[in-house]
Amino acid sequence: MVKIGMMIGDRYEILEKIGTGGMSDVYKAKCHKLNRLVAVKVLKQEFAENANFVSKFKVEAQAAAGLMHPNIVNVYDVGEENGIYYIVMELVEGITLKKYIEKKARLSVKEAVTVAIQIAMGIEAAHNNHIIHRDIKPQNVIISKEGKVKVTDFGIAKAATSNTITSNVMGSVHYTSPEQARGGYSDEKSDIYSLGITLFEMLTGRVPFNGDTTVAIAIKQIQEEMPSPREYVDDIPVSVEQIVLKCTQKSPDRRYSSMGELIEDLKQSFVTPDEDFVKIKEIDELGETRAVTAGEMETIKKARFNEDELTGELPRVNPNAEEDEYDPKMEKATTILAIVIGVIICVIAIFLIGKGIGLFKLSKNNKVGSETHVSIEKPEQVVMPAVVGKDYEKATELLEAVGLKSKVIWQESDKYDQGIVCDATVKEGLKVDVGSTVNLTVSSGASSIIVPNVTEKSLQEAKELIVKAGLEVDIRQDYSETVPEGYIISQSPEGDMKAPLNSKVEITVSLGVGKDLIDVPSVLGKESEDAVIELTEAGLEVRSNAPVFNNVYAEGFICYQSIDPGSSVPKGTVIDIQVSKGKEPEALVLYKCNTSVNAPSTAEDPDFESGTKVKITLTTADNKEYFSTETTSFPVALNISNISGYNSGTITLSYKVTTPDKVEKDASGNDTVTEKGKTEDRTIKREINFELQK
Amino acid sequence: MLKSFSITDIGKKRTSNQDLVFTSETPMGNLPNLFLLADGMGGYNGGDFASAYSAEVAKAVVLNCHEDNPRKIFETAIEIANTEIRRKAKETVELDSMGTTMVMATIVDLVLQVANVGDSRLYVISDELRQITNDHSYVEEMIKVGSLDRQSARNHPQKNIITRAIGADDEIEPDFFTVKLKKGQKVLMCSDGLTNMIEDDDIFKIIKESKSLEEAGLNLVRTANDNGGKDNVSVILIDPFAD
Repeated sequence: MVKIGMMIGDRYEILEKIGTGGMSDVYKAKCHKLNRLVAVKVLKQEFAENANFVSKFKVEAQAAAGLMHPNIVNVYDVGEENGIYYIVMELVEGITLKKYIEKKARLSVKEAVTVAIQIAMGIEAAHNNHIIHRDIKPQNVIISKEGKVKVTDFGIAKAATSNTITSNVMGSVHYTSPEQARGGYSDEKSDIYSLGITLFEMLTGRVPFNGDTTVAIAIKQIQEEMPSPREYVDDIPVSVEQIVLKCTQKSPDRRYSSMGELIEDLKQSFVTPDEDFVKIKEIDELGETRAVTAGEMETIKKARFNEDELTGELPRVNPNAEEDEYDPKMEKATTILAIVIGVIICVIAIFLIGKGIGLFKLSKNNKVGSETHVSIEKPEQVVMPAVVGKDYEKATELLEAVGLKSKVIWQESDKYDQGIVCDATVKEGLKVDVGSTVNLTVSSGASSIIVPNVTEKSLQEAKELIVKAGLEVDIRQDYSETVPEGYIISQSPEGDMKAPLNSKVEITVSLGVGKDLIDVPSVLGKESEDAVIELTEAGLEVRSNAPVFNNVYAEGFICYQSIDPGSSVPKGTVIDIQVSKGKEPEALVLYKCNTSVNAPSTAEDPDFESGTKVKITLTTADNKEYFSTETTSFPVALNISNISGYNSGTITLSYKVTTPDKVEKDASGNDTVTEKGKTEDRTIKREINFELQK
Repeated sequence: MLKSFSITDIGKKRTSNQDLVFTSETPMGNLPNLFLLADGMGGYNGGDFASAYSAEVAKAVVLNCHEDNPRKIFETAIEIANTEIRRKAKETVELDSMGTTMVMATIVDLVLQVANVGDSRLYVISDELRQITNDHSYVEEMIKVGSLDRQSARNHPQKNIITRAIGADDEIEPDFFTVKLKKGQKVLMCSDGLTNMIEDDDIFKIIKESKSLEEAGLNLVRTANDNGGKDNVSVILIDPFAD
């Protein structure tokens, strides 16, 4: 029993009761250790006697205790004493957002957005620590006397539904996301939904879904279309309206994926409130059912053709089933079983083929003779990713990730929005050499500006020209032997090129002829230790950063240097380098290869003789070998599963070709050898696409 | 014309009836009819409240749901009922760890759609008693993996442990079944208070020998009580082909 004046935990003196909720009471207390006022929330007696409630209370409170943020009512301490379970929190004197909205009927757009940003920042801190609030509502937000916005009851929402003021049990369901109403999975996006509803209420003074019972409201959350706040308040700008709608999408995938994203849009709505910049994903982008494209049909047809040549049994549907007896556990078990069987069959197949063609016998001596290697090889290549229709910065990232360079050329377009890639010099899906440059044609919107030519002009003049043209200035500096100090060495985009309104023009100002300059070497692709030594010896100060995943460079090799190779910098300049962690492991996507390997065709090699022993291997781009066998007869079935990380590979055929002596009749009519026969090693490489293994 | 009869009895040994039956031969929401049976559990008042409140929630969802597909309607109803029960359980000490089974059924153009969570059952009766739903009980799982045979299951000490129920967990996964009914077939829904007291063969016999659904229902309850009446017993009988 908690009494006024008693001391809890040896330091908290209970002063007065300030609130009561469903499961707990809240007291104002003085912490004698730190000499400050605090709030102490105590689990009510009847709940404290139930082990279930107590353990939930403790676990959640401890999780929340780790959070410290100006927009969160901070939890300082958790404890138990003589059957009294308590949480010590920051004491916030003020009123709840709920009361604040009631008082003012509704908030101005600016105020609502400001409050929303602060709530979002508080929740973001929790999300960064993997804590989901699950009960965001105006009753759980306090506005202090000083006007600070703080979210309360973090992580405690699971154990208790109370806050400092009497909780309204019905209140929660008005803000609950559809997935929470249906029970089960809720994540960061559920908090985003609830914040969206809260923002709606701030703007309009009412909740979007109401009803007589919790069930009626829950069903509305699930199936009724979210009304637009503009239906109730005319002067809500379009950006804010769209933000509310994006937060409250029924499907979590269509909402903001993080508080950070939401905060950005909220801030943007201050700057350009009437601009429709909020992007809500179209259904199609989520990978829902859509028609197959012609290209995809081709790939499917090719794969299908190979499949038909194999003897495989497709799973059969039971036509006699009258009832749908659906057991998800069984389905999972049969799928795993199928994969295991598939692998076993492959292993057996390889074993049998291997035995049949003498793979397991000792290899004979190679014929000695003049052997020349004839192979048809290609340089390191990558598949061009899809960039058309994407934001150009994203596109540049995508290209960099696979080792390609990009160049942006602005062009007016009434089909694509500003900043979106309209076209690329390389078509998606084609193979390109690593290191090549892809030109991206990016939309500058409906109109574009001709970039003024500012090279060799003074910095002042250059700035004026650029700003007058309606563009922004981005200044870099560099040394130059030819351009005097204070004048422009180069610009990007170049003069007379097109650019969208308000976009940046990067200009490099000369610092004059530098003294004590050193050339920055390239250490990309070098082993990290060697790189550090090389850079230090060149006169630079090396700063190593945390290793990162990289698709181009292997683990342990440098994949990034902050200063471009070849640049001239003063001695002692700091250069950042990053070591590659290797390729980022994908959520394990597995591929399979079911195909039939035919003998080298006449087109591929007219000299191939049927019956020659051929070594067949299947490798992926990282030179991982998935299959290897030797055969004299074709076709050879190739069924490999569990290929990870690559959706295509190379089938390599290696064999020898012997050309006979060339015999001709000489002057006297006798047979004579005019050209000696020879034996050559030949290699044929065939690219093959894999199928997704389900 | 579809006809039905339902009855629930406290049994001989219990002090309260935690079973609940609901039938509507007329449309509810987008369903032409609705049959619901729930067997509540949880000490003190919990079981009573769980079956009653879940049923109320399920009915409310059926009435307000815009879906046409019965399976989706049942799924939403059971999910929301589960969330509501879980919420109530967290807020009231006496209702902590309450739960209930639930079988929901509807017949649309002679196609029977069923949703089930728990160990209450739905059977289709023709020339035999055929169990449609799967029991979500510990004992049933053991039978499935072969560590227990059905005979021993009858008297197994852990017979009353349920593996899935409304209120058991935040997430719920009901089973769904579809049966095309043939002329002459009837449907039986019941709580384990019936099936634990009477063998399936005897249940079949009683139904076959009764002249009406009402007579069958009353006979089933009486027999269950005569055999011991250890639990609340509830029965819903449906004749889709009555005239």
